[in-house]
Amino acid sequence: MSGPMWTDMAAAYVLDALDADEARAFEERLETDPALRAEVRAQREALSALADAVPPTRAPASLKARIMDEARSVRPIDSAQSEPGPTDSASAKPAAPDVPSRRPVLPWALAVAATVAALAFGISNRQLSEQVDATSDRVADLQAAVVEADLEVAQRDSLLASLLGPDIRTASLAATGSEPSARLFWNGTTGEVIVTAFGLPPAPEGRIYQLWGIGEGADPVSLGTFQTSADGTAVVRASAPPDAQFDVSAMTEEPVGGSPQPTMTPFLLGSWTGE
Amino acid sequence: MPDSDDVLAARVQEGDEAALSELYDRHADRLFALASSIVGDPATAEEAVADAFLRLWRKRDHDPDRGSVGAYLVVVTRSRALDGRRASRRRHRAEQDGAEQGASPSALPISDFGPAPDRSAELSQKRAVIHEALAGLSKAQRAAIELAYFGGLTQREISEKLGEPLGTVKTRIRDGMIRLREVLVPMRRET
Repeated sequence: MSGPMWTDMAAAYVLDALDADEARAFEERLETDPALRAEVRAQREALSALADAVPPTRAPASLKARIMDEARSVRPIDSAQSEPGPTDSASAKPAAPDVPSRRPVLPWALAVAATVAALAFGISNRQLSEQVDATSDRVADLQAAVVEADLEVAQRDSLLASLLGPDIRTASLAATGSEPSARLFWNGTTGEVIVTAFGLPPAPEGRIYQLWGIGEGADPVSLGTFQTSADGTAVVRASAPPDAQFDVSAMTEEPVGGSPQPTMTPFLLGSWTGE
Repeated sequence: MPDSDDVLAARVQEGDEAALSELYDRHADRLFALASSIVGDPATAEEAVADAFLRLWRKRDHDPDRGSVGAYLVVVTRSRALDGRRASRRRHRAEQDGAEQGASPSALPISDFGPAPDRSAELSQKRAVIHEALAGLSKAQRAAIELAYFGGLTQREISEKLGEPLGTVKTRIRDGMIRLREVLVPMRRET
């Protein structure tokens, strides 16, 4: 039977909010306590529902094709060889990704080379294993950097295309002429809204900036949440609902996750021009 | 009648691509919204969502006894998004250090948020119930849960951040989650 102490910890466990020691102890208990497992399951389902509290955001169309392509190219791992299911404990590295490498040949080649070197120089298996791990990690980092760079180029091309469209409306958001400020570009053909922000320090821990579109007599519509970089700038791509009629746009600071409606007076406000 | 998530998850375990595709259509938008909210950067949010679906596909480690496939996907996506958020913070700190040392300024982050209008009345209704449940929490309970859920903070970190005793934070999270669970779990059973 689950003691009250363990049951009390279940919510924090599912939230990854236990300290590493607490999480370890909780997981040990979980192994032998079916009632506690049921409690964790119920808490996990509740948290899963909480994901629906976030303002709706459409996943990019290209994402599905990418996932399905990768799925087709990768044979599922036999479940007997797989790691345990995703845990909620941060200490246990929950749900460590095991996405197939985009270029699987190189790490293996390096591993073989390292093995040969080890045989030649009498390096222990343990040392060898550590070196191979470190080398593989480095290769993975470099691959990730290449993918990131490719992605950035593609994003910039796409951003430029949006800004150069034939049907562009603009809005300047400012707070009585001083910093911070933001400039918005709304592509009427695609519905994309490009937001550039300046002089806006990153929102503090637990907070995020949220952009709104407001039509006459209507409630504000969330265009999305974003964070600025350390130098106070951001270029954000949002999308307006089809047939949206916005007269003004505004920016507020909200709890991370965004709010369904603004919870503060906007600190940036501006009218749409064009069309 | 369309297959339930449970049936689709079982088909995915057998390597059925069409089932994976169907699960993606059902869950991708909410997972992407969640990841975007946590990490703020759409490229990292995409990675988090891709990791969740590809892990389900490749490892076949979803155990229906441990929770629904929807909860599995949320757990993996949130975890990966929090990893991305922590990495981004480290990068920002490094960039700040670099700027202080006269390094070139970093590239502008390009985000790709696409908040869509509600695609169905059911989704709107569901969201309304969740917001009502959240509104039923005290401000302090909500703050503690949001800092843990979206910010990835531990109870101890929340206590330090809010300057409140650890015991108080634990009680708020426990009581808040009990209240949320009373509303949200029956709702998930219905859908």
